[in-house]
Amino acid sequence: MARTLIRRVALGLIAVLGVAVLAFLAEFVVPGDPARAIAPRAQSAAVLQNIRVQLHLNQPLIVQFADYFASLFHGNLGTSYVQRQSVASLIAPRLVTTGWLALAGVVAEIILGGALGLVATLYPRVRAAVTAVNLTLLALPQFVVGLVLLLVFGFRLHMAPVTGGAGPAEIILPALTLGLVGAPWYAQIVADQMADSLSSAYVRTAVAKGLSDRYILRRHVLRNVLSPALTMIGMDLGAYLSGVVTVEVVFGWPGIGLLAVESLQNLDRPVVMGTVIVGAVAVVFFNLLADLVRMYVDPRTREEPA
Amino acid sequence: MTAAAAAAQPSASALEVTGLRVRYGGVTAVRGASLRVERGEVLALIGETGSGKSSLALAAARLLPPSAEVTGQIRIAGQDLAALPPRELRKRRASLVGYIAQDAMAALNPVQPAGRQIGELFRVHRAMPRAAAAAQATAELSRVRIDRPGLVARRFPHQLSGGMRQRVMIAMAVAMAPPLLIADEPTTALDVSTQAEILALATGLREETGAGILWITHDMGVVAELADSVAVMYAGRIVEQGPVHGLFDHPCHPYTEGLLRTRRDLRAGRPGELLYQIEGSPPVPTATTGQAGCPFAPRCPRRTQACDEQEPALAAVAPGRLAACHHASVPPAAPGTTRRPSGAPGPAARHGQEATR
Amino acid sequence: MTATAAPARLSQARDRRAGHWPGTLIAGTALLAIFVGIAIAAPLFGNPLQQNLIGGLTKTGLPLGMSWAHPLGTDTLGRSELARLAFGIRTSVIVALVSNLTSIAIGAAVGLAAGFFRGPVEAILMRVTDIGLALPYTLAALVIAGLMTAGLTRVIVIITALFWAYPARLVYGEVLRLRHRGFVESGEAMGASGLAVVRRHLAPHMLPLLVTYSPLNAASAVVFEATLSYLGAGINPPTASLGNMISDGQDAISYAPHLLLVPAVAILAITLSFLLIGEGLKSRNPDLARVSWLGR
Repeated sequence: MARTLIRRVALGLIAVLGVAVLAFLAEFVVPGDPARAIAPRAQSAAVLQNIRVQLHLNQPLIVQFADYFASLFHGNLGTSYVQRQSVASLIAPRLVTTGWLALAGVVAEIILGGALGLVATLYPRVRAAVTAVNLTLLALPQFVVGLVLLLVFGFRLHMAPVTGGAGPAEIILPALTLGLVGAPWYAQIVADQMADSLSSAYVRTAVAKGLSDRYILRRHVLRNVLSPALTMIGMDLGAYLSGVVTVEVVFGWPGIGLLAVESLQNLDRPVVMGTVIVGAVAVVFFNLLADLVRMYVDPRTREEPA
Repeated sequence: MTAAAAAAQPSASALEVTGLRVRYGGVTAVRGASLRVERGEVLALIGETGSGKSSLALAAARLLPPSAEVTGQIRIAGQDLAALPPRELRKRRASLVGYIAQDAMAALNPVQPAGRQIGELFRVHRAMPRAAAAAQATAELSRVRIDRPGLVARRFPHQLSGGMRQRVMIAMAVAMAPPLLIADEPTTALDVSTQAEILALATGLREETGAGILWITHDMGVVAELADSVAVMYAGRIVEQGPVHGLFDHPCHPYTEGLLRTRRDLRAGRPGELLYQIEGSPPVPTATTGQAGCPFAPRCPRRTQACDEQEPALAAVAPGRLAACHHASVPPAAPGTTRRPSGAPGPAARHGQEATR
Repeated sequence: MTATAAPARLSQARDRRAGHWPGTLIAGTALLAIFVGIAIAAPLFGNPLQQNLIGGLTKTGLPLGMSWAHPLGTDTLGRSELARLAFGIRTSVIVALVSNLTSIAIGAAVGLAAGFFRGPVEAILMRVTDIGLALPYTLAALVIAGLMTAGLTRVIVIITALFWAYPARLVYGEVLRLRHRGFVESGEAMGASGLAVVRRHLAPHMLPLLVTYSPLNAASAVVFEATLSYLGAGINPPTASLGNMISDGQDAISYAPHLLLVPAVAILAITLSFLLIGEGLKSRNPDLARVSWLGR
């Protein structure tokens, strides 16, 4: 089991490094002069040149590359062109804000999706209706769901605040949006796994042992449902933490996604690159975490198949 | 609570199936089968794939999903399970019948250690605390001749060998000391030496517990080694039943004869000789519903017009020997068996009477 | 009568019902056909670019609601919503079909190469795929968007770049499975060349998998394009896209909800048609039910 874990971590690191390299390369393909972006009103060429020297922009590519990675390892993501702060210090609080939304979103989609999946499994008569609901939710982009919710609950019913802000009242609609959009995935996992389990030989054995329905569901079936669900939760947390851009834009939620969008518009490249890298790290990290938990829950996944 | 729910009589047969019919939608897997397994006896049920033997076993163990239509009577140790309310059924079923599945890997919970799965029985049905249940589970494991039961108890099913898994299944089945065990081809997927071990285990358990065992198989070799009596199933019905030696020496039904001849040829044939094969292939379960006549007729060397018109009933051909054939061969009378005082019916005759009802 | 083996609810669930084909497949294909028709006939619905600040807006400068002159109303610049809708649908259909093809083509090629050649090729390709999967979706899209000029090409490039990793992994997994079953070895043992093995042994198995996967991929592409255009990273106004129609009208949605709802329903319907086709294909072949709604 240890070997599998180490291998996964190594692969994850490689992935993150790959993203970092890509981010670095993108810097050079992007048009525009960073010096000018920092000091747009600078008149003198000397000032601009000074800035370039400070940013090591006059050094050969390799040196810049080395510099870049060296600072990455120290957790230094550079300095914002636009604001006089380190990128890391800009990202950190926004990451936390997005974190809350991510958490709330995952909770919402587990509840909604799990409920849908359970209903579809235990009440076969409504299964067609549940599938229809699932398909509809899948077919809607996040921003559409968000806007509709905003329209209905925000503007028409005045039940929720419509301006930006990051408090518990404001988190409801965006979290609900994420929940609705993500629910079908969980519904499908739950329904599939439950159907598999319920028609499996070991549930038949459990029935033969004289165990009650509820006991079987709780002790035998649900655990088997957890395994793939956990993988999905890991993926989701990673995906959300890497920037739930659309939802944040729609609701004005001040998280890392909104920061990325703003920085992109301001041509504040270091911040954008920083968010991309942080995002990749989040994805990899949470996937690993999910793997760990899953290995604990489902012993079959502890060894990598040969 | 009627008499049906009263305690099972100790002298009753382990399993008594009468006129069992099992249907899944349009497919009739079992078309009126009857058999009986006595306590302390091993009845082997042979048949090819599609003969309905697994359905019969599942029906007897009450493990078919409710979409399956099951008619007929099934009594375990005198108890008609259909008469029990669901809660009562649940509480008592483990101590009435133990079911041993064919594929132990699929039939065991993959995420629970073996010991816990056995211990569950004691925790739920005997309200044992966890430690006591675990200890008891380990004891059950050593009862099925597992060498290091404590170690095995902690392992997950996928970490055990096929033979080991099968033993775990058996341990689970006998844990509550049921009077009836139903084993559905438990050795089919095992290699020959493991199979031999499991058979030896089964024989030992039969002696220890005095339970009746219904052992499903398609392997005549297993039958020869393990069984006391044999029932042959074809196209959803029992076509022959009798004690193992008598049946092997002198089969009554042409199908049984065919099976034995194939086996004999495999073992004793000379090089260059063609192996005997029963012509044709067994009918698909959907095809047999509603057809008149004996389903084996198309393949039968004894076929006559009567066979095509009327399906033969399972009837006594000799004391203790039942066959469903218009042209059943009558086995020679063994010395001693026919001399019965006129008033007292022996167990063999009772067999015969049940079948013709 | 009979004693049930387990109480009703649990055991009913144990009997799985067959899927509903061909209902979903037919419905999906029909729906898609309608949209393809609209896409082709888009110019018939009017001119999406023609602003009409006088006749197309109310006295107070708000978009018009539905009427005979403007069947779906107008947008904030007085343009015919119906015409914009038709052209937006055209965009979505093109994006769905083209980027679907490109992303699957690249993904399948990578997956096949990795699974077939093994060794260092496999390692490199799979690591690249991992990177592709680790990329934060929307962010990466925004970055790429910053590098290109707005338009259809940009969208297709972005979608291809971000979507190829999933079919790659899918195909790779399938090739490994097939290897395990001995197809490749037996092909090679018979002396077939590498390409021949791929073509004759692997491809036939791959095709059904990809065919079932592509509607889901297309559905994701439609949704993603709408999202990108909404964020300004896809197709920008004045060219009509279902996504930017919504972002254009966002400020006015409280009093002109049709600006949100009309394109939203269109997006829903197009995506749904692909999803229905996907569901239909899946239920036709239970083997392929493994292919879940992948392709975010």
